[in-house]
Amino acid sequence: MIKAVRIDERLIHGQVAMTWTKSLKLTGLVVASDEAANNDIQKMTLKMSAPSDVKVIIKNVDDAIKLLEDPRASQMNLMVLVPTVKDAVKVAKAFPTEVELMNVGNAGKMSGPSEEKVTLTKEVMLTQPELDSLKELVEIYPETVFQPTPAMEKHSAKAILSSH
Amino acid sequence: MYDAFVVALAVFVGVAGHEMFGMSMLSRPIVVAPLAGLLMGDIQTGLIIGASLEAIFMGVVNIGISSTAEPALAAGLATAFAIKMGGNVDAVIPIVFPLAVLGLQLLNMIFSFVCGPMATNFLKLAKEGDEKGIVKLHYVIWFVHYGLYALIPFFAVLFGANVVMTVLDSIPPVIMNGLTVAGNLLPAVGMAMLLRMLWSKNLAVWFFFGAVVMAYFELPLIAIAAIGTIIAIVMAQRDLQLKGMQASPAQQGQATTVSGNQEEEDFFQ
Repeated sequence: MIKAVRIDERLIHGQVAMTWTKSLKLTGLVVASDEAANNDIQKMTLKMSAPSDVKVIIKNVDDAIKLLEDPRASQMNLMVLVPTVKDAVKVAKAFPTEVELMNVGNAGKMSGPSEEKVTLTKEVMLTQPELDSLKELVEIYPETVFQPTPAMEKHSAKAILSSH
Repeated sequence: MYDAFVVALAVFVGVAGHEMFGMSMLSRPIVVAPLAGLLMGDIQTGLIIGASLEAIFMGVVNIGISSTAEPALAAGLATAFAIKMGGNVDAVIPIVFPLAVLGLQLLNMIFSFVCGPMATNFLKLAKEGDEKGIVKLHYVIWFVHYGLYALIPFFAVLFGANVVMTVLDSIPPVIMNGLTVAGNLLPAVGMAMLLRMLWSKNLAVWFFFGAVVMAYFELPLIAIAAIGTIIAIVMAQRDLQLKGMQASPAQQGQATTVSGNQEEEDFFQ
Protein backbone atom coordinates (compact mmCIF):
# COMPACT_ATOMS: atom_id res chain seq x y z
CA MET A 1 0.00 0.00 0.00
CA ILE A 2 1.52 3.33 -1.02
CA LYS A 3 0.63 5.51 1.95
CA ALA A 4 2.42 8.47 0.44
CA VAL A 5 4.69 9.73 -2.29
CA ARG A 6 6.81 12.61 -1.10
CA ILE A 7 9.00 14.98 -3.06
CA ASP A 8 11.98 15.67 -0.84
CA GLU A 9 15.43 16.49 -2.15
CA ARG A 10 16.91 15.41 1.18
CA LEU A 11 15.11 12.04 0.89
CA ILE A 12 15.30 10.54 4.40
CA HIS A 13 15.95 13.07 7.16
CA GLY A 14 14.45 14.24 10.45
CA GLN A 15 11.08 15.27 9.03
CA VAL A 16 10.61 11.88 7.38
CA ALA A 17 12.29 9.66 9.95
CA MET A 18 10.77 11.22 13.06
CA THR A 19 7.35 12.52 12.03
CA TRP A 20 5.96 10.93 8.86
CA THR A 21 6.93 7.37 9.77
CA LYS A 22 5.02 7.75 13.04
CA SER A 23 1.95 9.51 11.75
CA LEU A 24 1.44 7.21 8.74
CA LYS A 25 2.57 4.10 10.70
CA LEU A 26 5.05 3.33 7.94
CA THR A 27 6.80 -0.02 7.75
CA GLY A 28 8.97 0.78 4.75
CA LEU A 29 10.60 3.67 2.92
CA VAL A 30 11.23 3.33 -0.80
CA VAL A 31 13.77 5.82 -2.05
CA ALA A 32 13.29 6.24 -5.79
CA SER A 33 16.28 8.22 -6.96
CA ASP A 34 18.52 7.55 -9.93
CA GLU A 35 21.33 9.46 -8.28
CA ALA A 36 21.15 7.82 -4.85
CA ALA A 37 20.79 4.32 -6.36
CA ASN A 38 24.20 4.68 -7.99
CA ASN A 39 25.96 6.11 -4.97
CA ASP A 40 26.98 3.53 -2.36
CA ILE A 41 27.92 6.11 0.26
CA GLN A 42 24.58 7.87 -0.07
CA LYS A 43 22.80 4.51 0.09
CA MET A 44 24.59 3.70 3.32
CA THR A 45 23.82 7.04 4.96
CA LEU A 46 20.18 6.90 3.88
CA LYS A 47 19.81 3.48 5.48
CA MET A 48 21.40 4.79 8.65
CA SER A 49 19.06 7.77 8.89
CA ALA A 50 15.87 5.70 9.06
CA PRO A 51 14.44 4.39 12.35
CA SER A 52 15.47 0.79 13.04
CA ASP A 53 11.92 -0.58 12.79
CA VAL A 54 11.35 0.86 9.30
CA LYS A 55 12.77 -0.95 6.26
CA VAL A 56 14.59 1.05 3.63
CA ILE A 57 15.29 0.25 0.01
CA ILE A 58 17.02 2.52 -2.48
CA LYS A 59 16.33 2.00 -6.17
CA ASN A 60 16.41 4.02 -9.33
CA VAL A 61 12.96 5.26 -10.29
CA ASP A 62 12.17 2.50 -12.81
CA ASP A 63 13.24 -0.30 -10.46
CA ALA A 64 11.36 1.32 -7.60
CA ILE A 65 8.18 1.26 -9.67
CA LYS A 66 8.78 -2.43 -10.42
CA LEU A 67 9.31 -3.06 -6.71
CA LEU A 68 6.07 -1.29 -5.86
CA GLU A 69 4.21 -3.52 -8.32
CA ASP A 70 5.23 -6.57 -6.29
CA PRO A 71 2.07 -7.87 -4.57
CA ARG A 72 3.96 -8.06 -1.30
CA ALA A 73 4.27 -4.26 -1.36
CA SER A 74 0.55 -4.01 -0.72
CA GLN A 75 1.10 -5.72 2.65
CA MET A 76 3.34 -2.88 3.80
CA ASN A 77 2.73 0.75 4.67
CA LEU A 78 5.11 2.47 2.30
CA MET A 79 6.29 5.98 1.65
CA VAL A 80 8.01 6.60 -1.67
CA LEU A 81 10.61 9.35 -1.53
CA VAL A 82 11.58 11.07 -4.75
CA PRO A 83 14.08 13.92 -5.07
CA THR A 84 12.35 15.86 -7.84
CA VAL A 85 8.88 16.68 -9.15
CA LYS A 86 9.72 14.91 -12.40
CA ASP A 87 10.36 11.64 -10.57
CA ALA A 88 7.09 12.07 -8.70
CA VAL A 89 5.25 12.41 -12.03
CA LYS A 90 6.86 9.19 -13.21
CA VAL A 91 5.68 7.36 -10.08
CA ALA A 92 2.23 8.96 -10.32
CA LYS A 93 1.86 7.83 -13.92
CA ALA A 94 2.70 4.26 -12.93
CA PHE A 95 0.25 4.38 -10.01
CA PRO A 96 -2.46 6.83 -11.05
CA THR A 97 -4.92 5.89 -8.30
CA GLU A 98 -3.07 3.91 -5.64
CA VAL A 99 -1.22 6.71 -3.85
CA GLU A 100 -3.08 7.82 -0.71
CA LEU A 101 -1.16 11.04 -0.19
CA MET A 102 0.82 13.02 -2.74
CA ASN A 103 3.07 15.26 -0.69
CA VAL A 104 5.51 18.01 -1.62
CA GLY A 105 8.13 18.41 1.10
CA ASN A 106 11.40 20.09 0.16
CA ALA A 107 12.56 20.93 -3.34
CA GLY A 108 14.98 23.27 -5.05
CA LYS A 109 16.62 24.70 -1.95
CA MET A 110 19.80 22.65 -1.86
CA SER A 111 21.07 23.99 -5.17
CA GLY A 112 20.53 27.52 -3.90
CA PRO A 113 18.35 30.32 -5.22
CA SER A 114 18.66 31.43 -8.79
CA GLU A 115 16.93 33.81 -11.16
CA GLU A 116 14.96 31.17 -12.98
CA LYS A 117 13.53 29.61 -9.83
CA VAL A 118 10.10 30.52 -8.56
CA THR A 119 9.67 30.45 -4.80
CA LEU A 120 6.35 28.73 -4.09
CA THR A 121 6.72 28.29 -0.34
CA LYS A 122 9.50 28.54 2.23
CA GLU A 123 10.48 24.96 1.40
CA VAL A 124 9.85 24.74 -2.33
CA MET A 125 11.57 26.60 -5.18
CA LEU A 126 11.03 25.34 -8.70
CA THR A 127 12.30 26.13 -12.17
CA GLN A 128 9.85 26.57 -15.05
CA PRO A 129 10.16 22.97 -16.36
CA GLU A 130 9.67 21.73 -12.80
CA LEU A 131 6.56 23.90 -12.46
CA ASP A 132 5.21 22.27 -15.61
CA SER A 133 5.91 18.87 -14.05
CA LEU A 134 4.04 19.95 -10.94
CA LYS A 135 1.04 20.91 -13.08
CA GLU A 136 1.18 17.48 -14.65
CA LEU A 137 1.35 15.91 -11.19
CA VAL A 138 -1.66 17.90 -9.97
CA GLU A 139 -3.62 16.72 -13.01
CA ILE A 140 -3.08 13.10 -11.94
CA TYR A 141 -3.42 13.81 -8.21
CA PRO A 142 -5.55 16.94 -7.70
CA GLU A 143 -5.26 16.46 -3.91
CA THR A 144 -1.48 17.03 -3.93
CA VAL A 145 -0.45 19.00 -0.84
CA PHE A 146 2.59 20.98 0.28
CA GLN A 147 3.32 19.95 3.87
CA PRO A 148 6.79 19.55 5.46
CA THR A 149 5.68 17.61 8.56
CA PRO A 150 2.29 16.16 9.55
CA ALA A 151 2.00 18.70 12.36
CA MET A 152 2.38 21.64 9.96
CA GLU A 153 -0.28 23.32 7.89
CA LYS A 154 -1.35 21.75 4.58
CA HIS A 155 -1.39 23.87 1.43
CA SER A 156 -3.12 22.59 -1.65
CA ALA A 157 -0.76 22.43 -4.62
CA LYS A 158 -3.61 23.47 -6.89
CA ALA A 159 -4.13 26.69 -4.95
CA ILE A 160 -0.41 27.43 -4.87
CA LEU A 161 -0.10 26.85 -8.62
CA SER A 162 -3.03 29.06 -9.46
CA SER A 163 -1.52 31.94 -7.47
CA HIS A 164 1.73 31.77 -9.46
CA MET B 1 24.06 42.00 39.18
CA TYR B 2 25.70 38.82 40.45
CA ASP B 3 22.44 36.89 40.06
CA ALA B 4 21.99 38.16 36.52
CA PHE B 5 25.53 37.12 35.66
CA VAL B 6 25.33 33.61 37.06
CA VAL B 7 21.94 32.91 35.45
CA ALA B 8 23.36 34.07 32.11
CA LEU B 9 26.38 31.84 32.73
CA ALA B 10 24.18 28.82 33.50
CA VAL B 11 22.17 29.38 30.32
CA PHE B 12 25.38 29.83 28.30
CA VAL B 13 26.95 26.64 29.68
CA GLY B 14 23.71 24.83 28.88
CA VAL B 15 23.03 25.90 25.29
CA ALA B 16 26.64 26.36 24.20
CA GLY B 17 27.82 23.15 25.87
CA HIS B 18 24.93 21.24 24.35
CA GLU B 19 26.10 22.21 20.87
CA MET B 20 29.83 21.95 21.63
CA PHE B 21 29.72 18.34 22.77
CA GLY B 22 27.42 17.09 20.06
CA MET B 23 23.85 17.44 21.40
CA SER B 24 24.96 16.40 24.86
CA MET B 25 21.65 17.49 26.44
CA LEU B 26 23.41 20.06 28.64
CA SER B 27 20.69 22.55 27.71
CA ARG B 28 17.97 20.49 29.42
CA PRO B 29 16.25 22.20 32.37
CA ILE B 30 17.48 19.38 34.64
CA VAL B 31 21.03 20.68 34.06
CA VAL B 32 20.53 24.43 33.69
CA ALA B 33 18.16 25.02 36.63
CA PRO B 34 20.22 23.26 39.34
CA LEU B 35 23.35 24.95 37.99
CA ALA B 36 21.71 28.37 38.21
CA GLY B 37 20.40 27.44 41.66
CA LEU B 38 23.82 26.33 42.83
CA LEU B 39 25.45 29.55 41.68
CA MET B 40 22.69 31.61 43.30
CA GLY B 41 23.10 29.72 46.56
CA ASP B 42 19.83 27.80 46.54
CA ILE B 43 20.44 24.49 44.85
CA GLN B 44 17.27 22.94 46.26
CA THR B 45 14.94 25.37 44.49
CA GLY B 46 17.09 24.87 41.39
CA LEU B 47 16.61 21.12 41.59
CA ILE B 48 12.85 21.40 42.10
CA ILE B 49 12.51 23.79 39.15
CA GLY B 50 14.82 21.62 37.05
CA ALA B 51 12.82 18.45 37.70
CA SER B 52 9.43 20.16 37.19
CA LEU B 53 10.53 21.77 33.93
CA GLU B 54 12.23 18.63 32.68
CA ALA B 55 8.90 16.82 33.10
CA ILE B 56 7.20 19.53 31.03
CA PHE B 57 9.83 19.75 28.30
CA MET B 58 10.76 16.06 28.21
CA GLY B 59 9.03 15.62 24.86
CA VAL B 60 10.45 18.78 23.34
CA VAL B 61 13.01 17.69 20.78
CA ASN B 62 13.94 20.15 18.08
CA ILE B 63 14.47 18.54 14.70
CA GLY B 64 15.11 20.91 11.85
CA ILE B 65 12.06 23.03 11.27
CA SER B 66 9.88 21.02 13.59
CA SER B 67 11.22 22.95 16.57
CA THR B 68 8.89 23.95 19.37
CA ALA B 69 10.78 25.42 22.30
CA GLU B 70 14.21 26.08 23.79
CA PRO B 71 13.84 25.32 27.49
CA ALA B 72 17.25 26.48 28.82
CA LEU B 73 16.31 30.16 28.90
CA ALA B 74 13.04 29.35 30.64
CA ALA B 75 14.84 27.11 33.14
CA GLY B 76 17.39 29.81 34.02
CA LEU B 77 14.80 32.55 34.39
CA ALA B 78 12.32 30.38 36.30
CA THR B 79 15.05 29.45 38.78
CA ALA B 80 16.09 33.07 39.28
CA PHE B 81 12.53 34.27 39.77
CA ALA B 82 11.60 31.40 42.10
CA ILE B 83 14.66 31.95 44.30
CA LYS B 84 14.02 35.70 44.41
CA MET B 85 10.46 34.99 45.51
CA GLY B 86 11.68 32.83 48.37
CA GLY B 87 11.40 29.43 46.76
CA ASN B 88 7.92 29.95 45.32
CA VAL B 89 8.05 27.31 42.60
CA ASP B 90 4.34 27.05 41.81
CA ALA B 91 4.03 30.67 40.76
CA VAL B 92 6.67 30.54 38.03
CA ILE B 93 5.74 27.23 36.35
CA PRO B 94 2.88 28.70 34.25
CA ILE B 95 5.15 31.35 32.73
CA VAL B 96 7.87 28.98 31.54
CA PHE B 97 6.22 27.73 28.36
CA PRO B 98 5.84 31.14 26.71
CA LEU B 99 9.41 31.89 27.80
CA ALA B 100 10.71 28.72 26.16
CA VAL B 101 8.89 29.45 22.90
CA LEU B 102 10.21 33.01 22.95
CA GLY B 103 13.69 31.65 23.68
CA LEU B 104 13.65 29.50 20.56
CA GLN B 105 12.52 32.41 18.39
CA LEU B 106 15.30 34.62 19.76
CA LEU B 107 17.91 31.90 19.34
CA ASN B 108 16.82 31.43 15.72
CA MET B 109 16.82 35.18 15.11
CA ILE B 110 20.43 35.44 16.30
CA PHE B 111 21.18 32.48 14.09
CA SER B 112 19.58 34.06 11.01
CA PHE B 113 20.79 37.62 11.43
CA VAL B 114 24.20 37.19 13.07
CA CYS B 115 25.47 33.73 12.11
CA GLY B 116 23.83 33.52 8.69
CA PRO B 117 25.63 36.46 7.10
CA MET B 118 28.96 34.88 8.19
CA ALA B 119 28.51 32.17 5.54
CA THR B 120 30.26 34.36 2.96
CA ASN B 121 33.31 34.60 5.24
CA PHE B 122 33.49 30.81 5.34
CA LEU B 123 33.34 30.72 1.55
CA LYS B 124 36.15 33.25 1.34
CA LEU B 125 38.32 31.28 3.78
CA ALA B 126 37.57 28.07 1.89
CA LYS B 127 38.67 29.66 -1.37
CA GLU B 128 41.91 30.77 0.27
CA GLY B 129 42.40 27.27 1.65
CA ASP B 130 42.67 28.67 5.17
CA GLU B 131 41.66 25.67 7.27
CA LYS B 132 42.73 27.20 10.56
CA GLY B 133 40.74 30.31 9.80
CA ILE B 134 37.61 28.23 9.24
CA VAL B 135 38.02 26.43 12.56
CA LYS B 136 38.65 29.73 14.35
CA LEU B 137 35.65 31.43 12.78
CA HIS B 138 33.54 28.42 13.69
CA TYR B 139 34.37 28.82 17.38
CA VAL B 140 33.97 32.61 17.25
CA ILE B 141 30.46 32.24 15.85
CA TRP B 142 29.69 29.56 18.39
CA PHE B 143 30.67 31.96 21.17
CA VAL B 144 28.87 34.96 19.67
CA HIS B 145 25.68 32.97 19.01
CA TYR B 146 25.28 31.67 22.53
CA GLY B 147 26.93 34.67 24.18
CA LEU B 148 24.30 36.96 22.66
CA TYR B 149 21.61 34.49 23.69
CA ALA B 150 22.92 34.52 27.28
CA LEU B 151 22.58 38.30 27.35
CA ILE B 152 18.79 37.82 27.30
CA PRO B 153 18.59 36.11 30.72
CA PHE B 154 21.22 38.55 31.98
CA PHE B 155 19.09 41.61 31.27
CA ALA B 156 15.86 39.80 32.08
CA VAL B 157 17.09 39.05 35.59
CA LEU B 158 18.79 42.43 35.99
CA PHE B 159 15.72 44.49 35.10
CA GLY B 160 12.89 42.00 34.94
CA ALA B 161 12.98 40.21 38.28
CA ASN B 162 11.20 43.00 40.17
CA VAL B 163 8.69 43.51 37.37
CA VAL B 164 7.87 39.82 37.21
CA MET B 165 7.53 39.71 40.99
CA THR B 166 5.19 42.71 41.03
CA VAL B 167 3.09 41.28 38.22
CA LEU B 168 2.87 37.85 39.83
CA ASP B 169 2.06 39.44 43.21
CA SER B 170 -0.72 41.53 41.76
CA ILE B 171 -2.49 38.54 40.15
CA PRO B 172 -5.49 37.71 42.35
CA PRO B 173 -5.20 34.40 44.24
CA VAL B 174 -8.17 32.89 42.39
CA ILE B 175 -6.40 33.21 39.05
CA MET B 176 -3.04 32.24 40.54
CA ASN B 177 -4.59 29.04 41.88
CA GLY B 178 -5.95 28.28 38.42
CA LEU B 179 -2.53 28.89 36.89
CA THR B 180 -0.93 26.62 39.48
CA VAL B 181 -3.35 23.83 38.67
CA ALA B 182 -2.67 24.35 34.96
CA GLY B 183 1.04 24.30 35.72
CA ASN B 184 0.65 20.98 37.52
CA LEU B 185 -1.01 19.51 34.43
CA LEU B 186 1.85 20.54 32.14
CA PRO B 187 4.08 17.52 32.98
CA ALA B 188 1.29 15.29 31.65
CA VAL B 189 1.41 17.27 28.40
CA GLY B 190 5.19 16.92 28.31
CA MET B 191 4.93 13.19 28.85
CA ALA B 192 2.25 12.91 26.16
CA MET B 193 4.45 14.77 23.67
CA LEU B 194 7.31 12.42 24.47
CA LEU B 195 5.12 9.35 24.08
CA ARG B 196 3.81 10.56 20.73
CA MET B 197 7.35 10.16 19.48
CA LEU B 198 8.45 7.10 21.45
CA TRP B 199 5.26 5.04 21.65
CA SER B 200 5.72 1.55 20.31
CA LYS B 201 3.70 -1.58 20.94
CA ASN B 202 6.77 -3.42 22.20
CA LEU B 203 7.65 -0.82 24.79
CA ALA B 204 4.09 0.02 25.88
CA VAL B 205 4.03 -2.77 28.48
CA TRP B 206 6.77 -1.00 30.43
CA PHE B 207 4.73 2.18 30.49
CA PHE B 208 1.88 0.33 32.19
CA PHE B 209 4.34 -1.48 34.42
CA GLY B 210 5.57 1.89 35.67
CA ALA B 211 2.03 3.15 36.22
CA VAL B 212 1.09 0.03 38.22
CA VAL B 213 4.25 0.15 40.33
CA MET B 214 3.59 3.81 41.06
CA ALA B 215 -0.15 3.68 41.71
CA TYR B 216 -0.60 0.35 43.53
CA PHE B 217 2.79 -0.47 45.02
CA GLU B 218 3.27 3.19 45.93
CA LEU B 219 7.00 2.98 45.37
CA PRO B 220 8.91 6.24 45.50
CA LEU B 221 10.17 7.61 42.16
CA ILE B 222 13.80 6.84 43.05
CA ALA B 223 12.94 3.16 43.49
CA ILE B 224 11.06 3.11 40.16
CA ALA B 225 14.02 4.77 38.45
CA ALA B 226 16.37 2.13 39.91
CA ILE B 227 14.09 -0.71 38.76
CA GLY B 228 13.91 0.93 35.31
CA THR B 229 17.70 1.07 35.13
CA ILE B 230 17.99 -2.60 36.07
CA ILE B 231 15.44 -3.61 33.43
CA ALA B 232 17.27 -1.50 30.82
CA ILE B 233 20.61 -3.13 31.62
CA VAL B 234 19.16 -6.66 31.55
CA MET B 235 17.51 -5.98 28.19
CA ALA B 236 20.65 -4.42 26.76
CA GLN B 237 22.71 -7.46 27.78
CA ARG B 238 20.19 -9.80 26.16
CA ASP B 239 20.14 -7.69 22.99
CA LEU B 240 23.93 -7.85 22.84
CA GLN B 241 23.79 -11.62 23.23
CA LEU B 242 21.23 -11.93 20.45
CA LYS B 243 23.29 -9.67 18.22
CA GLY B 244 26.34 -11.86 18.83
CA MET B 245 24.36 -14.96 17.90
CA GLN B 246 23.05 -13.37 14.72
CA ALA B 247 26.36 -11.92 13.63
CA SER B 248 28.01 -15.06 12.29
CA PRO B 249 25.39 -16.28 9.77
CA ALA B 250 24.55 -12.73 8.67
CA GLN B 251 28.17 -12.01 7.81
CA GLN B 252 28.32 -15.06 5.59
CA GLY B 253 25.29 -13.76 3.73
CA GLN B 254 26.91 -10.41 3.15
CA ALA B 255 30.12 -11.94 1.89
CA THR B 256 28.40 -13.03 -1.30
CA THR B 257 27.51 -10.04 -3.41
CA VAL B 258 24.02 -8.86 -2.58
CA SER B 259 22.07 -9.04 -5.79
CA GLY B 260 19.17 -6.70 -6.48
CA ASN B 261 16.72 -9.49 -5.83
CA GLN B 262 18.25 -10.42 -2.48
CA GLU B 263 17.87 -6.77 -1.49
CA GLU B 264 14.19 -6.90 -2.41
CA GLU B 265 13.66 -10.15 -0.50
CA ASP B 266 15.13 -8.50 2.60
CA PHE B 267 12.87 -5.50 2.16
CA PHE B 268 9.70 -7.60 2.00
CA GLN B 269 10.75 -9.98 4.76
